[in-house]
Amino acid sequence: MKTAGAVGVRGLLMKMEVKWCGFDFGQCIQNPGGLRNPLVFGDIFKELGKPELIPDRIKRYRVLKEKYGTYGRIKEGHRDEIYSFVLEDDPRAVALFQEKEQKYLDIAEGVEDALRYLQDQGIELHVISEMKKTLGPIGTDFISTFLKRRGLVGYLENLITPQGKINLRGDSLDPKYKGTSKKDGTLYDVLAQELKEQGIETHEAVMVGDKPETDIDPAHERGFKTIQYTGYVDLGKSKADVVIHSFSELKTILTKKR
Amino acid sequence: MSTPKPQTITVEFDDGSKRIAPFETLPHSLQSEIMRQPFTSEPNPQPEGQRFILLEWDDGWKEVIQLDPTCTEIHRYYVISREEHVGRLSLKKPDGYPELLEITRKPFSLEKITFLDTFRLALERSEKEGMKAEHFFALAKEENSLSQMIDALRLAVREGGMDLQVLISQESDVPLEVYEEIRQKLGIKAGSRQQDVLDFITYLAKAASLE
Repeated sequence: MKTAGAVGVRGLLMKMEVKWCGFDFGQCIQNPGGLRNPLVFGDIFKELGKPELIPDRIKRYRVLKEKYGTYGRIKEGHRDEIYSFVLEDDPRAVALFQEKEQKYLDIAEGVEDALRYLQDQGIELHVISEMKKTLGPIGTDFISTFLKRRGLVGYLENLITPQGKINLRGDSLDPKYKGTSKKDGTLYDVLAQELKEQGIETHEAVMVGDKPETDIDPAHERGFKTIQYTGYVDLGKSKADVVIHSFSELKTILTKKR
Repeated sequence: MSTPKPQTITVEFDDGSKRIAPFETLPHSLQSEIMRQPFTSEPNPQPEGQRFILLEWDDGWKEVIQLDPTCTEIHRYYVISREEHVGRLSLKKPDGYPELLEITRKPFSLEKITFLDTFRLALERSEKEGMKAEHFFALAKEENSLSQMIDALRLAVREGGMDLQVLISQESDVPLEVYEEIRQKLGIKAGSRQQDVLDFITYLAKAASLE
């Protein structure tokens, strides 16, 4: 039964018993609301001593958005084009872009409180991201850096991406996810197999994310429980079991399966 | 015959000097801005080979825009709607028409303004008018930031083994890298034009030499 919020259409409280929980990163754990183009590109090109280029580069980034549909899709799958098309592969501009992004991105409201609750319950917590081509040296990638800076690695154990599984606390890389994808579901196939080896069935695991085509539908089709988070952006209809608007709702929905 | 492509841009100053630059080195937005001015606009010799977009509004308003001729079809149309915050900083002038600066970078986070004196900003009152709100800030005088900048400049010059007099002299060809090094040590950026920050460094150097 799909519900709007933690309370179902018949007034019943939606509850899920799980052992494992995966979170999408962009526009889910991370809130890009403070990341405004005039601010980011303004700061970058003022710092580079080229303020005259600001309108031009903002326009290029907006053109890139038209190419890929949303800024989220650029960030997750085509970050290399931000560097080449918008920043002309200027290493200083690229470094500043990464720095400003870290500075202006926020964590979603209520996420840390929800993670603390879920950890106290004994539920395993991980990040599942479609981030491509941006891994860089292990432990220095964009997501790991963000999670470490915000003090979230105490809750989240692994970062699973199409480039491998990074242990956020030890910075080790398990390459078994390499070449997979959330969108075509191959990442969830590997994940389901790995969880099974740990004694966790897919119906005992839940995926939380905002994008139907990568976070919800492919996971749901493989038997995972799914929660669509619409607190930052509502990307429309999905196969999610539950739709939440706030991370605080997880505290009423999820409990540890004994 | 195709539309001629601009090659160079020349700016002549009232002292007779000129600055010439290849047109393609200008930012694209500026190139477009220049090329849409009446003085650069020429009738297109082959309008039939061009692409145009016609926009029509529900009040009968119609507009035409010439497009890049390689455009093939409409991709999508959407409207972005969000609350925007823009700071307006106005300064009095003798002609009675204030100078108006728009502050777009985090306007609510602007902390201090230095013009003659330094003032700390504090939100004083908000006035709502329909969908619009105006938030007025009180200005409280405090220690002048320019004195601190001058001290920082002296330190940067000393640490960099530079000569303050060289910075002051308009005649000398101080490499841009020197200004860049000082700029970074002072932690300042140009708001809109890089030359402003270079001139500001010279201004500070002159002030430092007078103290």
